[in-house]
Amino acid sequence: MSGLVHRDKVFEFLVPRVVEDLDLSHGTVLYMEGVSVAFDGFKAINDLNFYVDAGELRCVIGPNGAGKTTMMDIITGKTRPDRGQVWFGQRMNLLKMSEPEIAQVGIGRKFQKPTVFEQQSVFENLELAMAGPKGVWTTFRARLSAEQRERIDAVLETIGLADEATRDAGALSHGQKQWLEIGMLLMQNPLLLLVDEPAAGMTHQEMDRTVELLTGLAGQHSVVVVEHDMDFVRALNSRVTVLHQGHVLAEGNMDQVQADPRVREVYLGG
Amino acid sequence: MPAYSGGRVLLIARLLKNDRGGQVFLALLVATLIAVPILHAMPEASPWHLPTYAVTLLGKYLTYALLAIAVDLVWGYLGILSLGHGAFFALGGYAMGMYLMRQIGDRGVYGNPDLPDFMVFLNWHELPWFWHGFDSFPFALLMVGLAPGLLAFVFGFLAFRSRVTGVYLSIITQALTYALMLAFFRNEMGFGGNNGLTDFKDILGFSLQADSTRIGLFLASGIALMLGYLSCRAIVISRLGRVAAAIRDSEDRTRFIGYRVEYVKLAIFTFSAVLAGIAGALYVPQVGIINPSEFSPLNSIEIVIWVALGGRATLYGAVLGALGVNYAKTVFTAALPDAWLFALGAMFVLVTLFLPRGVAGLLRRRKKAVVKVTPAVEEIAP
Repeated sequence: MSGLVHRDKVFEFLVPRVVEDLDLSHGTVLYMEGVSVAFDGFKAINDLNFYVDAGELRCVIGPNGAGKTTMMDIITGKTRPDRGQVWFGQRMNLLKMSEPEIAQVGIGRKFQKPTVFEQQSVFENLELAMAGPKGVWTTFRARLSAEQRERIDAVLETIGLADEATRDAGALSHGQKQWLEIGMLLMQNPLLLLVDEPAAGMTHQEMDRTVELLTGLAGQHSVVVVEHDMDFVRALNSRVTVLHQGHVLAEGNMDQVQADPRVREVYLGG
Repeated sequence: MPAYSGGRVLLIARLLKNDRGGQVFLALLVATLIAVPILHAMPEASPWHLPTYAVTLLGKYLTYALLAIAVDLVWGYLGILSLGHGAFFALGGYAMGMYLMRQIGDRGVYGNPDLPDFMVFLNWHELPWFWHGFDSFPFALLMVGLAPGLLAFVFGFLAFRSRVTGVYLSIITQALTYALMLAFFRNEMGFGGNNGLTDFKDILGFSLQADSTRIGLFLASGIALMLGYLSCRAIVISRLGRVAAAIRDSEDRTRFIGYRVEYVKLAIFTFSAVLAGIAGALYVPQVGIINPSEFSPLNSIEIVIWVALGGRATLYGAVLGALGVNYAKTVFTAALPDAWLFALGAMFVLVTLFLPRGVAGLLRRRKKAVVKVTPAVEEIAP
């Protein structure tokens, strides 16, 4: 009900929102500190500390129920933690922002199950995801500029769906839908990309292209990849964080992590 | 201003691009709007003569069609199944009814120049505050939009903010109209209790009994329907319309790409409510009465059935459904009054089973079977 009290919030869609500058002076784009959340007594996330550097590519692995998806839910504002802090850069407190606000300041998310807008064409899916003002009136008046059209075409090229641009997204194969989702992320041009199981249901060739794409994105963007497929994680060749029971168990490159006896215990049962 | 009207024609052409159903519908509507006054003017002996009651009946159907479009906009395109749109229709109707009541002046049964009959009957001595201003037609018009719009805005603000969706939202819209019905039944509310507002004499100085006024109201309803259709089309084909469809198909996803889902819903829901209110305001002078039964939940459900029968998310399908069902209702209730509800139920069941996209879906599929030029652009879901 706070919206009723804060009148400036009620009519937010009428005024252009001023995004405060993201302060990345310490080189860290995401801070999660002492975060805990419990669902009906089950601690999905337990005193989690997790940091992502600017431009970094990071993999998060862990057994089922380790809290990987919940962690993403917290970052994107879908789930509110019981305790802890989550900051985007030095100054933006993500716990005080709504999902669309978080998306607008530059955190994009690809879901585990590919969710594209099935009844709309591939092109339109990308258009909807495009970065820019998303108020009701501006959306109503929006016309595609030549520049924006080019940008969409470029992304279509990148994700290899240029020939499918006019098809309904619902008619795409599973792998293509994954690609489209990544494309939608690219259209948002976020600073931080959260990618949940991008390789699920992909052929080996598709996986190779995904690896290429994700490593290509790192540098300009920070990318956090949650994945089960160890070959895929190895191919990404990045820092790996192992989650276990909602807590960071180990962190390092793939070899270090695999050599860690605690990790072996969790994965192989000792 | 040739350039200006040229721009307008262009705008309409743009709105109706790729909308064959809409083009046909608007052409037929314009033809009807021209033909009806001519046929009505024929001498009474002529077989072509259209009696006044038929003109009024058609006018009433057109207001229903506008109401159906309003429901299709929120249900077909935004995914909100409103079972309470009858409330917005009735509120617009009441706003118009209050104006018409004030126009009666001292010609009422009690001949009181200051108070409507029902207030004299209730022994009231002065006009309640919320009746002030309704002597003025512009004020009444403002209220026609404002009353349903404000209700929809406040209701939608609370509901969408709390993320009430799906069947729960449908149930509260139903509760909303039911609550209003009970409220308007009470005499203390000051809206005429269960008798409602009636015994209207004239509108803008023209007698409501006059044939020319009837024709005028019919034409006004047709023009309102046309403008309503075009404005809904404008929303639907804009990016906002596609965001609405995105919300309908995956609300969470839409939120994560940065759209304020609740504001989009609020804007379209409120607009739809205003359209429904305008439909109600045109309905009341033609039927000559507005009473709380218009708030009845059954009415709102019936509107949804029109849209379902005609075909969701096409707009012209909603018009088709509203006209078809109401014509059937007129025929049935005259011939077999008891069978009407069974017939309506049967139609609903049959269409749901065999024509999930309504009659409009049937038209579309046949067109596709004949013309196979653009496959895969819009496949019918398996």
